[in-house]
Amino acid sequence: MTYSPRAILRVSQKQAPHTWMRATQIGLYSTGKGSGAGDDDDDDDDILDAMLAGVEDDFAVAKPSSPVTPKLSELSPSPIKSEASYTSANLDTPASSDAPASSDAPASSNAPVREETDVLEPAFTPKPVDIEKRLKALLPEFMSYGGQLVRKPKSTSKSNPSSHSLTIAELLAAGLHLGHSTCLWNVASMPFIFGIRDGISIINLEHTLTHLRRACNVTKVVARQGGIILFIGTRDGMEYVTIDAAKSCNAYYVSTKWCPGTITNAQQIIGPHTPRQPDARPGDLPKPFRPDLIIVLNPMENMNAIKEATRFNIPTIGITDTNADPRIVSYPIPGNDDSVRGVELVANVLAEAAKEGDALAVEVSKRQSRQMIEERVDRMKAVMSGRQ
Amino acid sequence: MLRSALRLHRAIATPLASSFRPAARLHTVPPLPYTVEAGVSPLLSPTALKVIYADHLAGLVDRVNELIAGTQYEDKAFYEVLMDSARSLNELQLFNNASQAWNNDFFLRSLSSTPGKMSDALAKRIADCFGSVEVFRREFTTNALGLFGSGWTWLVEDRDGRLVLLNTYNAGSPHHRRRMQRHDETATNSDLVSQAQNPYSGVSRYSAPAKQMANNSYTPILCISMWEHAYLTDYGVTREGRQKYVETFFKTVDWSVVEGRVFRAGGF
Repeated sequence: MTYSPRAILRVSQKQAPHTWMRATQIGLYSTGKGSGAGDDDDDDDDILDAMLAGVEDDFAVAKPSSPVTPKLSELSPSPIKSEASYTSANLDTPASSDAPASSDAPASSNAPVREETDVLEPAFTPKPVDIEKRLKALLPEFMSYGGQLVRKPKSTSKSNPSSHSLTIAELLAAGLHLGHSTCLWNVASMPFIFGIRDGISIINLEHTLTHLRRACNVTKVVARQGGIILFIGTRDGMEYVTIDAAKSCNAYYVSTKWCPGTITNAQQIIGPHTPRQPDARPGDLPKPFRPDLIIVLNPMENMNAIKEATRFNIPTIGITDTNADPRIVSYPIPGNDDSVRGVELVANVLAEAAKEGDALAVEVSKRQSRQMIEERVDRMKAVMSGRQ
Repeated sequence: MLRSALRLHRAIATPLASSFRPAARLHTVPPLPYTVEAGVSPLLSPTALKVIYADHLAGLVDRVNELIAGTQYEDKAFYEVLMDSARSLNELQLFNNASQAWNNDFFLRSLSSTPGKMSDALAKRIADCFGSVEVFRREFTTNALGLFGSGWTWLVEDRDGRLVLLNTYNAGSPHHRRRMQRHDETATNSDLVSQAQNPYSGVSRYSAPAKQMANNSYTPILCISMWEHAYLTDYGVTREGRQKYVETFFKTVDWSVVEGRVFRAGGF
């Protein structure tokens, strides 16, 4: 009795029912030529073979050696020539079909006829492409396709005032002097209150201007060092104030709710959105960054943010009203945080200071690179004169 | 029930009128290096170029402007809008319009009435990947003619620097692996391997491989528009007409522009 795979299966299943057998051994799937060997169910297989006899002929596909479209005669070689060269190439140069990548140069010199046929293997050695460099090189071109954003006409966009040109009259016009009602005042804000009128505390705009100038200096220095600036403004009507101020100086912004733990629990909250470092080893977590300066436009509603910043020694700038303790932020700006015009003015002035800091940084880097080039030129000159 | 209704209302509420916002900038159709009235001879007559550029492309950019108004895609560069909508799971309409506009512009700016010749370096690079420039032309033509329906035939470069051919249907783009729309559902065989055996399909052994490696998107180098509106005006939809269109395309491609896009690896 032949020991067919099926017989073995029956035996093995009795002995060890949990033994896995390769499906090909059992013969569940056909593996081509070898699958029908040694079967004891020869009757079934004979019938199957008879049924499947002429299958290959039915499913014949067009052979690539014949030309696809006869009208493209100028592009493709004539069929007879290609077939002849195909066969002659096969007979003449059997060795060159073994290693197409390495032997293409000698093969093409041996048999120039072969270039016309499909048999010529392209001699391509894959070299991994430096993707970063490649994208950087191509990006300007690809960015220009599809559509172009219309340039903003310079005349209509109002230029932001700088803190040096601000006057108290402008602060007054923006309503920054209007504090909260006297029954809500915070005692610690007393130094900044000018007086009381109509049941509200009036903020002394001289202090406002002084503190705003100090805050602008801080922002300018942080931007000059390349620090990360974060604008937080979460009031309903002030989303665009925050967003526009931040976008104009390449800063970050939070215009909806500040998620508690963004700094103290950064790995969980920002981590999923942070890309991994380019030199990260496998298993390294992405490293979220902390801001170097936080500008809060409504500190009373973002105490979580201010506490987290204090915990991590991040300097904060905030517009403190008369109901706020100005000591909670590092650089308070006493002013009205309810008026949109006022907050917009302060945010734009700070953004302008950040832009000045950026410009300074660019200048410094330009100067440094110029110095380096000059040094190199001097060194080269010294070498040349030394040789002479 | 009431709470969820309120939340939904808040989500779709427009920003308050009290907060002044300067109007977001809109996209416009970028200019071509040649005038529309002249057309691109010999490939596109002025009428055909007007159909592609002034009608179709302008309509696509207008639609993109409509779709991005008030969303997070506002004020972003066009390529950014394209890639972000490719990566998002929902923005299919925006991606289709943006991708079609990008593809059309890419196609039109590769053409020229006075095209630059293919340099030796580029010819060598193509010959390295295809065997010879003639083989490349033949395979490109076969791929383009085998594209059943509307789409694009691309010459792209993959992560190894290899030049391969790619057929994308409708508004498929080689920039993102999920948005290539490569699958021709009219094909007799469903897998690309057996399609490659059939010279009448749009797939050959020089096509990009069927199995998409993770993060495998391609860098486009050259494309031809096989959308009917591109060749209908001048060539008609007959088989001979399409062949003539692809043949004429090769006479109109500005190879210096193409060479600028191919990555110059060590031996270029």
